[in-house]
Amino acid sequence: MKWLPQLSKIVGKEHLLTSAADLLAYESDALSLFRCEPAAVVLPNNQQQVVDCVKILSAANVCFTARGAGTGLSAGALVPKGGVIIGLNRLNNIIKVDAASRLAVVEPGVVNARVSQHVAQYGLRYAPDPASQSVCTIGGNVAENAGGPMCFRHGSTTNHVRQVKVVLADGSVETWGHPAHGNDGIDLRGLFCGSEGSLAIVLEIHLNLTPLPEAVRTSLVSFESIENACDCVSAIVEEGIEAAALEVMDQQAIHAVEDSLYRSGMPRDAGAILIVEIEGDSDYVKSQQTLAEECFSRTGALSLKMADTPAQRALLWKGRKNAGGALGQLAPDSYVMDGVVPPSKLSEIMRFVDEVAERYELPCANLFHAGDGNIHPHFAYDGGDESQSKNVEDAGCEILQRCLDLGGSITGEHGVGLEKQHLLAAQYGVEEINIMLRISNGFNPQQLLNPNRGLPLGGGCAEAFHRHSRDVSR
Amino acid sequence: MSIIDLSRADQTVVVDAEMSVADLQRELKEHALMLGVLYDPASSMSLSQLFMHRRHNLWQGAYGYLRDQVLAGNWLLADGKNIDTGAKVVKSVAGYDLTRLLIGSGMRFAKCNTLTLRLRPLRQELYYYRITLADYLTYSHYQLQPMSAIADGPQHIILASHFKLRRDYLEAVEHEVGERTTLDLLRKFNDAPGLTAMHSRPDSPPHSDFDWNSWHYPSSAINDFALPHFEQLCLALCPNGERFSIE
Repeated sequence: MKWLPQLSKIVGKEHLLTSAADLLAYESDALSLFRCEPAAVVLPNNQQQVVDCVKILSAANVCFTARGAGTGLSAGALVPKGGVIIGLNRLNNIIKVDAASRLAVVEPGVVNARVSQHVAQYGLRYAPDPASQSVCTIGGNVAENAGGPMCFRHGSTTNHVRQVKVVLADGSVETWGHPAHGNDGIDLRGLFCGSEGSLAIVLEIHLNLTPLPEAVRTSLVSFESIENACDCVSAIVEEGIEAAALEVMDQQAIHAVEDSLYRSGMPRDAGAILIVEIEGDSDYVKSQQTLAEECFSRTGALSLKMADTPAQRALLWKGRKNAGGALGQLAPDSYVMDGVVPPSKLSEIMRFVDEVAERYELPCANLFHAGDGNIHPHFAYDGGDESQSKNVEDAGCEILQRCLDLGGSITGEHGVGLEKQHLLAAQYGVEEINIMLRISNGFNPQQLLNPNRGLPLGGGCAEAFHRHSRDVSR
Repeated sequence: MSIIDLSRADQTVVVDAEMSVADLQRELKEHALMLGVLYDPASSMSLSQLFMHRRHNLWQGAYGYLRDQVLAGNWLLADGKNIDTGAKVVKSVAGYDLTRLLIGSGMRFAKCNTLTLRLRPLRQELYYYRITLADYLTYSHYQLQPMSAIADGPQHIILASHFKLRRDYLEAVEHEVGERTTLDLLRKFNDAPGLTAMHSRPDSPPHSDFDWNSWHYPSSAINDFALPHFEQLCLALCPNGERFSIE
């Protein structure tokens, strides 16, 4: 492995990790169902170092993948045995903010929430807000086309990326998109967003910024059942209220939050809660809030708690934003699913999720982006129990298949990764998948860069990764 | 050339790509919905022409780029095959985003048969402002873009908004630019969407003779064929090398 000393020469030996203890944190992302220890992790601290590392690994015919904070939920940033992870966390500069053009130029290791904090002084924000936004990085967000609660109104990451500078698998550097309008000929920028790091590694991103709203009103409404909460979402959409976020949590999720460090005073006796955020001009917010409250009443709301100040809003959102962490404490492992249905089918898919969880005897909590129809059932399980692990996977497949049957998608924001590769063929036809594979092979002819990620695997590759966390022998 | 499937509950519509933008907006209005793009109500421009040729969305500030309005499509490839891209829901990251790759390709890669579009609740009010500034650069220093801005000649900016401009924006302009600036609330329209009302009334804003066709990206300056990966992508779509001829 003569490439190891070459990498060390580029980044310095302290930034090349090879010991088992150092590599442990890199053997999976936040989906522990899949694990594989990389041969090494290299941590460059500038764009040129990334390019140099790519050239060395490419010349040595070694598989490699880029990784941000490792918060992905589809096993997107893993390498097969013998591969190398290029950690981009040290590329964390906000290079430029052009407030007049509503533009921020950042490196991929910049943490999502830091962008909004930094540009707030200009009356701006970066709209996509994944639940992990306090730690996840913009590079990872671009690779997965990440979403979040505010994406109902403002759209996912791809809607906010104007231009990317990337390094291809052979080490060549290209710029895709346009800094002003994001469109400069063929939309390679759009193709790249959500390609799960399989086409190129991002070095620099031009982000679109959004003005902070003049007024924001956040409501937390409780209901007797999740069906009532879903009915309320439908009523709000039908009423033409353009909410910024519509988030639902069921009783299991509420209890997990209220029993954890993240408790925020959610009503424990509620069957479900709905968080509604309306933003815009003060008059508009007031008028839309009145309409929303009529929807709450019509659909059997039990209680209403409102927030106007940033502190009050932060408290209402605290439970929702940390629910994933709270649920993760319920069992040794958790499986956070990600499917999409048309919002009008939410009640139907929720009934099906309940039925599946009961049939497989799996504890399940639900929190989801209701406005988008983007569901996230959380299964708590013990990865050391082979039958539980298999049940989790089978239950997940059934739910995603039903999402497709209802006219939806197998993933709204987590990506396909290794987790859902086998389901992609259920969403697309052979021709569409063949086109994707040919595109992948065009950019990544040796399949060294995050090989086959997000696409159906070639024969035998699945065995390169261990499913089920406790199977791995170290 | 009509609506194939409209879901008010899901705010999506599946349409024949040859339907005109104006006809679609008229039909959507009956359902209290709209497509988040500013359009010329007198034009027969089709959705296919709108989305495939890199036009600028004058409502980008509120609803995003044109490509962001398209959720899914059915396309004819040069080798005669039909493919489906995207998903008929507002959020999907399954597989590569072929929809965005094909949108804006000027029909070099594929021709559009049907489109699934994201809709918005119909807004009943539009406000138009005219701001006279020293130059466009001066304008760009203020975030006076609540929804869209049209450069109407070298010194005039027309702003269209669903909201009244924020008072602090107005005060900032008045304070900084002083006598050089005049700002008028031109009209408040009550029968949105688009510029229908503006065009149909004699006292419409001064850009009623607006050249719609000039508002697209300067595609003449872009030689797609010289772009990196153009050939590679053509072959990914049609591996036997079939191409559409572009006039």
